Amino acid sequence: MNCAEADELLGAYAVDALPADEAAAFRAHIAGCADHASRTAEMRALASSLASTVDPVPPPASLRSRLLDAVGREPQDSLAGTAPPRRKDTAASVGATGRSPGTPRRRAGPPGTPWRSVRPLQAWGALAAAIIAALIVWNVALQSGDGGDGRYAFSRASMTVPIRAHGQPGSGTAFYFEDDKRMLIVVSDVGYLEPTETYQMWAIADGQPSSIGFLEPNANGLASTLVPFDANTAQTFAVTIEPAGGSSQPTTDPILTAEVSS
Amino acid sequence: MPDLEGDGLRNSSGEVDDTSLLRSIQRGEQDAVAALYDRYGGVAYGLAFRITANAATAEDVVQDAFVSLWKQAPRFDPERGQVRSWLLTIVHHRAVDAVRRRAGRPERALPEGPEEFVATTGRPEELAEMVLDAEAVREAVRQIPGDQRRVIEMAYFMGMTHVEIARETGAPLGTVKSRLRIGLEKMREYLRPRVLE
Repeated sequence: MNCAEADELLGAYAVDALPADEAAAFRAHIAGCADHASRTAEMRALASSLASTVDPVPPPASLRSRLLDAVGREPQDSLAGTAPPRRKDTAASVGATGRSPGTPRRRAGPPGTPWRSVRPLQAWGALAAAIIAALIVWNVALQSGDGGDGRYAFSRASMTVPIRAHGQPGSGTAFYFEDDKRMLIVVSDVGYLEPTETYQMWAIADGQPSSIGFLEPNANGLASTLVPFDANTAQTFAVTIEPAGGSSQPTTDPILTAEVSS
Repeated sequence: MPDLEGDGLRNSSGEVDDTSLLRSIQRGEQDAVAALYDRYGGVAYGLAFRITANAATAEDVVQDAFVSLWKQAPRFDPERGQVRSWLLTIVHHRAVDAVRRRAGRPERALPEGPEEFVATTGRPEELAEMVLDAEAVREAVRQIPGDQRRVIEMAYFMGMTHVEIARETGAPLGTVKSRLRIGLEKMREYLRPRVLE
């Protein structure tokens, strides 16, 4: 998504009127565009103010006690964020720990999953992802802003690398476009998350992750998005599960990674 | 019992302010949730009912929103965002999700976690302050031309996506996008000088 397209969607994003894939593309844009991040904040504040135009309505008296009972049953998140189990997690892949606040969670990947150590993906995985990618290429073209001219056609990618899952289902392919310093991410079989969690994407340069947006799979576990990525400085693409709204740094091990080297 | 009598700052009406309530909630004091509910339960229920048009669903939305606030409160910095705005953002998100679920539409509203809220709405300066002045916002909405106001209300209060609005109104999708943006910009033009006065 370029700035002109972000301009067009600014209002719709602010009032929650974008479908998930467009919202994800918009968020990926503002993750790397300070101007639109600022304008989005302003527009979201305007949209939020609409709530104050609604007259208060006294809720039923029973709601208060029911609500407080529910609060009493729910533990609070720790400072670094503790989210409920994923609906589609496998028992083997989820290892929630009784960590202290600030300690990274280790529940998404196997113990010791290194940030920069990725084994080659099996050929069948890459093929499956490529087929899925082809099926949704039209959608990618719409959200990536190539205007249908094939700018981000797979055949024009400078590099194609597998995206490998760690400890749970999921696979995919990353298509890197050197001229634009962008990467097209196509994944499948990604599990559904609770509303309190999100898939966050990272570009990792010399072990230091930087957020590059959010991945929003559809109901079938497919997701595609275009993200900023410079393979001259970053070596690894990764996805982690984070509290809704994202984190400034990863708090879990990566569930998906791709090694990228120019 | 939260320490509302001790260290809480009070507003002109002698009530403990929202920030102090939030701090109490962050310390795990459930009575502070009750105090926040007593303060904003009516606004939250009014918003939820306006969006869902269903009393039972609105109750569920409000309950979910307060539970969500309770759970996520430790990660919210009240110095960087208004508690009331965050609460109503959660209510809006949950209500829109409920409406979309009921209609069999898969799209979820935007995340409403503390980090997302602060990043996209929670700035205490300038426009974020205007949520305190409901009458100014109402007047700003009245200033918006009817076709722009309608699409904003369809999105915000009915949970419709731009595609659904285009289908409903018969307007081209690009026109709907423009109306949403220009309508909000007109709100901004009206409110900014009043906020900064």
